[in-house]
Amino acid sequence: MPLMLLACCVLATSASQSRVLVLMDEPSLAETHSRFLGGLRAQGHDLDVQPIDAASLRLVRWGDWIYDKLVILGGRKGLGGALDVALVLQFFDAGHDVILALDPAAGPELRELASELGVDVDAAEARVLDHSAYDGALAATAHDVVHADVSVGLNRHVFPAGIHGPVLFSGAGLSVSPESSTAFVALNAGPTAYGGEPGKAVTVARLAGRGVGLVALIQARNNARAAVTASLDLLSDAFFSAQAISPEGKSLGSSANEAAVDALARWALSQRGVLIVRSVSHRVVGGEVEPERYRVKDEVEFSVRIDRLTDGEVAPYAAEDVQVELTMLDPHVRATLTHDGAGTFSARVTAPDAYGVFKWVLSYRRRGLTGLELSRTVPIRPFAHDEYERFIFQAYPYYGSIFSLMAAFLATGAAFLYTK
Amino acid sequence: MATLHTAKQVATAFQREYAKTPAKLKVLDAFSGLAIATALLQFVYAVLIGSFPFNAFLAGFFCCIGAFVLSVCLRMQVDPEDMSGKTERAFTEYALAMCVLFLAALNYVG
Repeated sequence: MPLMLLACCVLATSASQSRVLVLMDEPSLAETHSRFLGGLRAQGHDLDVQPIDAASLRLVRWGDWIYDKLVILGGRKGLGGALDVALVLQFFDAGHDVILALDPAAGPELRELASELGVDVDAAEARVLDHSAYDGALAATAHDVVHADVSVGLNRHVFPAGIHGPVLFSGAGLSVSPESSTAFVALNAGPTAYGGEPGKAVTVARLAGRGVGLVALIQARNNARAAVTASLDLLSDAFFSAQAISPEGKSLGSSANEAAVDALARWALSQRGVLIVRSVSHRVVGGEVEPERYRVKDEVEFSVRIDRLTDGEVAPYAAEDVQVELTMLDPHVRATLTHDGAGTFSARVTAPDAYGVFKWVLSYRRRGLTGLELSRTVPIRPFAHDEYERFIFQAYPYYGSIFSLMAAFLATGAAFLYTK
Repeated sequence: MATLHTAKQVATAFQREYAKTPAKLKVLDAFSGLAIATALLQFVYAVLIGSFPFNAFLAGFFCCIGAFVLSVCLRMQVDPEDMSGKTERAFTEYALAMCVLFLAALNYVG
């Protein structure tokens, strides 16, 4: 329990002290996106707002990262100072979170950063257009402000329940490779959207329908996170406070941009959907905890305590799909863990009838949650010589055959010697 | 030599000739027959019930086969038709070999 409290304190302090470098194309973005930046401050981040091309920019001082997170707004100008794409990727690889909100007309440098993160942004002149779900007030003629719905897609770990109303989006679409194990699209355009130039006929759309991604999230293998979008307006005060109007001119209520962007930013800056492993243990049922080795066919138990961080609050995690395996090259046993409602997951299995060096392996990767990779090595030994039954019932005929043959041999020997 | 046509004739001829065999050799033949029959029974048991524990099966089975082979060897040495005349010495060697065989089998049977 003291350990848990300590862990909570460490989390709380690191959350309250996280230093975020915010890079902007224009100083005016600080005013037009003040509510977005205010939201980040309200989440407990200490913002350092800098022009993107400032000559004094640096992420590293004397080999230490001087920021915990990085937010980039814009991208028409290149990165200045000591920053370049390779350094930002190093920053990401070191486990730091990155939010990349590109200007749709961003230059090649930050597009390269997006593609290094696994996200393809549409061409510079392309915009997301939708002739049946555009905003009646903001894009009555160009149709380049579209409505999106956060309830579409498998995003329950990203967006909290209760975000109502359409999200207004104006910018370029993006796509993520379906094979990607790290990146996924959290916000899609509607089924009638496509990527094209406003006012120009399009014969071949590179992105169309639900395939048009608006916001992509990345959960890297080292559990660093990133969010990529090719829209600055999505985060703007104007869209935060706008009323959504249907193409027919009906009001759809106020836009959900503020709540959706807040959820996305919290997710991307590792404040939501973060799983924390508190303790892992395994034991022989009715025997010692973490024994040096198991015996074949032992009844063994694996248990792990998992908590979940949601908006700064740590609560026990609950799920029915956590599995553990006993593996020696291949999984010999796979069991689904049951939880007790207080975050402790456990499974009882019979150790396989094979001996060697086994590992408990818990590999849990779910969209929108921290990936868990746990393993504990425990060898399994065969029965010792005194752990078998001394005589096995089934083998009595074999024992009997030898003794009967010995008796017959003695009789034969006597008869042989005393017969003329 | 008249040609023997039927199996029955073969059997009667065998019985007639075998009656001339000395009693000593008949005793050895009976033991050899018992050993091979026990081996066969164990094999059938292993096929029907299972050869677990395998070491016990091997020990029992090969003990019988070994006893059969040694008995046949002894019989060849003491057969009066081509014997060397040292029956006692041959039997001593046979008894020693059987003891070694049983020792090995008992150790291996588990």
